[in-house]
Amino acid sequence: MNFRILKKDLKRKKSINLILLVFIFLSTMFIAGSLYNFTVILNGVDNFLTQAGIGDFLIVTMGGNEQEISENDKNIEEFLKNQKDVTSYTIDNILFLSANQLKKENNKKILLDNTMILNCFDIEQQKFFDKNNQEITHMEDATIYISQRMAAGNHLKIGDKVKVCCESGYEVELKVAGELKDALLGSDMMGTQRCVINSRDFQEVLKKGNLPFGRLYSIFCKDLNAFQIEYNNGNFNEIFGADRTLVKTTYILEMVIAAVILLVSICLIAISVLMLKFTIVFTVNEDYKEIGIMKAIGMKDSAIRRLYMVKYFVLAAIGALFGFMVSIPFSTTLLLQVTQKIVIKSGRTGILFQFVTSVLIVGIIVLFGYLSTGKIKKFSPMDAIRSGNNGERFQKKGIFHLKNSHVRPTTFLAYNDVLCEIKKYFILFLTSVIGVWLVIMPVNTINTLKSDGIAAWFGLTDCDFYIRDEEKVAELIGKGTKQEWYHYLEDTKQLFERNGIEVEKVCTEVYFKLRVRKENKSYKSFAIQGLGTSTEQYFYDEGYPPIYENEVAITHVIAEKIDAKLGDTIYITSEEQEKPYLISAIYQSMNNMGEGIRFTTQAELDYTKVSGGFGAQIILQNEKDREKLSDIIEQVKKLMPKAKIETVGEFISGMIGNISGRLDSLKLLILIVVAAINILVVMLMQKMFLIRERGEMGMLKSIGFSNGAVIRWQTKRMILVQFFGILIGIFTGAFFSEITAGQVFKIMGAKKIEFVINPLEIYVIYPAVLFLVTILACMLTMQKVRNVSIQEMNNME
Amino acid sequence: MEAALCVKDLCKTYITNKRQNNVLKNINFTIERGEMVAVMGPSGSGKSTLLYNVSGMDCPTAGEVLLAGKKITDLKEKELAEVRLTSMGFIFQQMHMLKNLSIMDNILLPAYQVGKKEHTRQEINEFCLSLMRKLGISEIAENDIAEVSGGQLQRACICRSLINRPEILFADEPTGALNRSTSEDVMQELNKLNREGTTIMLVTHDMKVAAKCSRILYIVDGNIKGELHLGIIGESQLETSQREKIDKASEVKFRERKLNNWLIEMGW
Repeated sequence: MNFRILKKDLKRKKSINLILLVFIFLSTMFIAGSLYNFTVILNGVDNFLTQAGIGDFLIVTMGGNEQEISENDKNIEEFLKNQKDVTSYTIDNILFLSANQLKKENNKKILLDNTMILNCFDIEQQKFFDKNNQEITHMEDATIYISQRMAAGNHLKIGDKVKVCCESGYEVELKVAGELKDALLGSDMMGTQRCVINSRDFQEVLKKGNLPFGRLYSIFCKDLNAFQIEYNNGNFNEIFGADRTLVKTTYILEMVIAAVILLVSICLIAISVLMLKFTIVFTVNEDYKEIGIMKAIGMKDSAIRRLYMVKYFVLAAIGALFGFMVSIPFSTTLLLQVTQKIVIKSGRTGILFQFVTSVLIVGIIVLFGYLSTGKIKKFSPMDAIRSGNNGERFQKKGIFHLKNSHVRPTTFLAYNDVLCEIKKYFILFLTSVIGVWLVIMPVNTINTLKSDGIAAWFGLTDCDFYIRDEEKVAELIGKGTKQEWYHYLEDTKQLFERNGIEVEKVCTEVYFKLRVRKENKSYKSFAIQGLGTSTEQYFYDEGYPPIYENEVAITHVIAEKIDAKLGDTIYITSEEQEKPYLISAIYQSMNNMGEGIRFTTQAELDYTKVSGGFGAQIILQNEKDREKLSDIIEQVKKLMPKAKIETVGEFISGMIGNISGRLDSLKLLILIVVAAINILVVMLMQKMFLIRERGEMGMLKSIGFSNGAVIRWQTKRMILVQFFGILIGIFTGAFFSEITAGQVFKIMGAKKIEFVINPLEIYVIYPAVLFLVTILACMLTMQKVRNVSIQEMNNME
Repeated sequence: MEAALCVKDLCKTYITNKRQNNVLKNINFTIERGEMVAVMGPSGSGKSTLLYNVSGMDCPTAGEVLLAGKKITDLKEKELAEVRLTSMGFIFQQMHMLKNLSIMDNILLPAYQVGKKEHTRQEINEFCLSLMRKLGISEIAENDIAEVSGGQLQRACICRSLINRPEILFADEPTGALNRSTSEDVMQELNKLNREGTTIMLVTHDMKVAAKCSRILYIVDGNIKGELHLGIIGESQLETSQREKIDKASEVKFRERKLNNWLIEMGW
């Protein structure tokens, strides 16, 4: 009997049961997929570093050769042997390659932003993975795994040939075996990239290539802080020295994307739960009449309740089964965005997790159903007649009156309905708000990262373009004097002027890695000396720009590391001696994870220990020339064929990785996901209203409302809710961006964030896209109004 | 002058479970302006279907319906909605109103919906209040629909059907959901409206209601079996001498008796 009633019910109330089924399906898909992503992403980067075997502290040195290692390396090795805080360490040989030493099959130069490290795939320091997340355990002779950036930047694919052309005349051709997932140097923010080959090939290149030699130390410590203090006091030279936390921080982009996906997932879960509850309550309300009639013919409450529980169980089981099946590809698609650079464990555990979640959802739905059907006890047979309303339960409805309004009746009905039944429209409102937040956040982040003002965040002065010349910088570092850097700037200026490019200023920044100390707290920090610039050209959060030789500005991060504040005296080691400096200013920089010390031009620093530079910054003289900047850049490219000419945005992209490029695709994905969710929610809610309000629609038609007018009434209601949802979303979007993306910027070193808001995008284009697609969806759904006949007004409550 | 309603060869067929059910079979009749016509007949005879089809609430399978000379059977949905909005009023057995609006707002709704404005909203509001006063419900103008009695709600429905000054008023069992005394009141109002010139066509089971109409159509199995002219109440076709002798109450009784006899003849 129960089965027959259930079968009839499912058949007869096809629409409402189908809507519930769709919501169960969507909720399961979103919740199971998102919860799994949540657990995987939360510790994704950490797991990757552990999986790869990254040590607690990593050092890269340059110098010496295989037969005779440098004094510096000897000292480091000795130091490590005697350190009580070191539990174990590994040492691997590496080689350094510059862009000129790597060529394509057709002898075309391979473009690299920075130096390339070459080592064996089976070094002790870490494991390497291929694009399919498989550990590389074997490599054929004459094959090479290349970095992802090298592959993307030079359009290299598996099977292509890469030539290593050494200055010694030795050449070797290697076939690309794949792209690397490299835990230490794989992030876009790491300037240096890495390629791996097998041991036989590496030994051959090592012997015949005469390439710069270096060592890679991976250290595991009992007490990392104690080790770092000792190491910093050791005065060793390294080209890279960082702890695991810093390596992890270089995956900031992965973390940004992961954070965005987590937020999307949380929002999806919230929307799904709300929608499910709404749909179940709605379905139970639809059953008022049946429940009343069943009671009238003498059925017990428990028997009626059992009947509904069976119905909800059947619907939940079917919906959850399909939802579970689709949640697997759904979660994989979202995870793909975050697993480009890192390896995330997946497999059967994930599927099992999603299955268990789906089973739980069935349980939750049945529980929801059980709680919602609790009302059955309260229903009387009278409810069967009055569809749940006994008249006395009506409350005062209207706040506004049509007689006082000046709008069209359909508009009045729309806003009056929303105001009278706010709870009913709250989910839609919330969906719109969340949707706008999710869209605004990446847009604000991208616009901020793309803006001209971003240069200040990276502790750079504004300029028209950058000349990045790796070879020249290496040559200048080799010469080891400040004077040579000035000559280079002067030569560049003259070259431009000879070619009709009027330049106001040519300047540069030279990088050092210097030990800074305040009392017993020390740190080896990234430091900058600008040449051809003035310290006044930079932005500072506190204090005044350093003017005298013994004044410096430090970043918030360094101030925290050594516990220093404005006006304090700190000690910086350069030219083998420790000199006192007064902190005149504190600034923020997103360069080098917020590390930085800025010296005045006249400060005496050891130019034999320069750790890097980029080339030169160019400021044009005429505003007119600025208008044809792209032409000038093209001209400079011809004048300096070995150099890379970049705009400010391109230069910063090179420093932090192509954040905007990857976020751009994520932005589009989110817009599509959010729009799809909004459309679904609107369509399904509208379908429910179409079932619930058939009586009202029939009645309005009977008094002369056309189909168009009824559609307008329903659509205006949605427009109103969407409009206010989007409006609130816009106004609170900046705050949401600050508490999400803002935190990520803070990790990168920016203490004060002012998001660059593009009003056209944020206030017009994106909200308009969301608004229009949902309204269009609503209007299309409402075309079904044409099928509502006047006689259906007899179903009015 | 054209008739208020002219129905020619009207047919309505429903197809349920592949079975054809001819509910109305070649119905022909005319209602002149100012008439008040009741349609009576046994349950399932097709009374309500007839009302819905002639009023454009439903589409007939065949035949023509001319409303004040305008053929409404050929109209498109949008034009038909316009006719429903401006040229006719409809009173339903159930008092259907929007629960989120006050009584007065419910009445005003069709008036405000009229696209071409002949009257300002101020004038419409005043007319609405005058209608409500006329039907004795002006004091419940601001009330919600749940706060008033069935009779008051039905009068509000009448007001709503009259708000656009229709040429013809259709009513489907207008007193079906009301008690005897409220029914009497509602019928008095309808008679008053009829005397003021509104043509009325109503469907009823109630002999007392039908007795207040000027003409009765009796429908059986989708065919009009007969019709009875009772004349406008208060202007019965009685001899003056007789009229002088009887008072108004007696006239109603007289009409009811006459109707009763006729209905017996019809097989009621």
